[in-house]
Amino acid sequence: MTDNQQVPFGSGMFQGQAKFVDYAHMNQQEVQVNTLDEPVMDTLLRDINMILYKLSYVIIPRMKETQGRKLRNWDLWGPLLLSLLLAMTLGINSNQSSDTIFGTIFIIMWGGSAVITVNAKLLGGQVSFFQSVCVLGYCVFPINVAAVLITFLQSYLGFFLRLIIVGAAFLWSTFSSLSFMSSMMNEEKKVISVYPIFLFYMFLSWFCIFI
Amino acid sequence: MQIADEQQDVQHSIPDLDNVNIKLGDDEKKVNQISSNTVSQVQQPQQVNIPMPPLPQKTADPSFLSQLFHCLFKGLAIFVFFIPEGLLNLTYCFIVVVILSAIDFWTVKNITGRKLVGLRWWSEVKEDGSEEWIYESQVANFIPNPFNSNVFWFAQFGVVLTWGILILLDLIGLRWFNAVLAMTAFCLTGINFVGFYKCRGEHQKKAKEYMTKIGLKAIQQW
Repeated sequence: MTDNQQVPFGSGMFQGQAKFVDYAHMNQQEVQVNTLDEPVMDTLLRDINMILYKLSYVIIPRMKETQGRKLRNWDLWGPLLLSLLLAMTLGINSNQSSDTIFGTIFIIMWGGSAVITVNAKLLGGQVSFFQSVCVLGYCVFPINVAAVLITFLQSYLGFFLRLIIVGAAFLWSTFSSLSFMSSMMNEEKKVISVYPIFLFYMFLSWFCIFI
Repeated sequence: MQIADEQQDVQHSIPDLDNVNIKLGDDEKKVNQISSNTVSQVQQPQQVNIPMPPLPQKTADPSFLSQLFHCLFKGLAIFVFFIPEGLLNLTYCFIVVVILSAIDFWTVKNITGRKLVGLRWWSEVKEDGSEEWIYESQVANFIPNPFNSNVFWFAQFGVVLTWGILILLDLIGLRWFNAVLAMTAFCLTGINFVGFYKCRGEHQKKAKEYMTKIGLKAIQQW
C-alpha cells in the first residue's frame, strides 16, 4: 500500500475514505503533527480548546462559512454535556416526574438532531452526519443558559419575563445554526432544510417555558 | 581486535596476513598462522555497504498507570450499570454510565491507545463534506510490550462482549431502559475497538512491508 493512499471505507450514509498515515516515508513538510508521542496534557488541552472554539462560534454566530472551517472537526462532547445539562435542569424544574422529563428531552435532542441531519442529507446537502449533529447540539447552548437562568431565578421572574428570555435564546440558537446549515445547502432547498431546525429549537424552548 | 592481553605478542589483530609473527616456534607459528588465517578470512572487511537495519525498538516498559486507566472507567461503568434500582435512581444511573463510557472512549482513543500499543485513529471531514478516517501508528519496527498489548486488547474486546451480552439479556428480559443504555455503551466501546483493530491491521502491513524491504536490500547486496 502506497503512502497516504485512500481506500473506500464504510457504506451508505457513513461512507468515507480511509487514509493510512505512514511516517517512515513522509518528508519533513508532509509530516502532520505527530500526535503519537505527545504528552497527555497536550491532547487534553487541544480537545478543550476545540470545544471552547465551537462554543465561541455559537455565542458569536458568524455568517461566513470560511471562518467556520474549524467546525469540521466535529466532536460530540458539547452535545452530550449540553443535552445532559438541559435535561437535568428541566427535570429539576418540572412538576411531573423528573425521570420522564429527562428521558423525553434527551431523546428529543438526539433524535431531533438525527432527523434534521437525515433531512438535510436527503435534500442533497454536502454535510457529514456527525458534523451536523455536532453543530445542532452546540447551538442548544443559549437555550441551556435560559433554562438555567429560569431555574435559579424562578421566584423573581414573571411569566412574560420568562417568555422574553426564552424567546431571545431561541432566536439566538436558530441564528447560530442557520449560518452553518444554510451554507451547506442549495439556494432553493434552504428554507425546507432550515424549517425543521426552527421547529426543533422552538420545541425545546417550549419545554423551558411550560414545564 | 585484541583477544587477550597475555597474547599481545601474538598478533591476532586484524588482518595483515603479511605481518604474521615469525618469531615464535614452529608449532605456535603454525597455530598462529592458521588462526590468523581463519581470523583474517572471517574478518576481512567487506566492501559492501549494507545499511544496518535499525534494531527493533526496545519494547516499552509495561506502563501500569495507563493500564489502570484503561480498565478503570470501563469497569466502573459496568459496575454502576449493575447497581440495583432501589439504590440508584434510573436517571442517575443513566447519566453516570453514559458519562463514564464517554470518558472511557476518550481515554482509550487518545491516551491509552497511544501509550499501550502505539496506535491512533481519528476522522476528518474534507472540503466536500465526506468523512475521512485516518490511522496512525508508530514506525514499522515498533513492537509494543506484550503485557501492555494483552491488557489493551483483552480489556477492549471483553468490554464489547460484555455490553453485547447485556443488551441481549435486557432485550430478553424486556428491560428497555437498560437495553438502550447498554446499546449506547456498546456503540462507544465497539467503535473504539473497530478503529484500533483497523489501525493495527494497517500497522502490521507496514511492518511486513518494512521487513520485506530490508530482506530485499540484504539479498541485493550479496
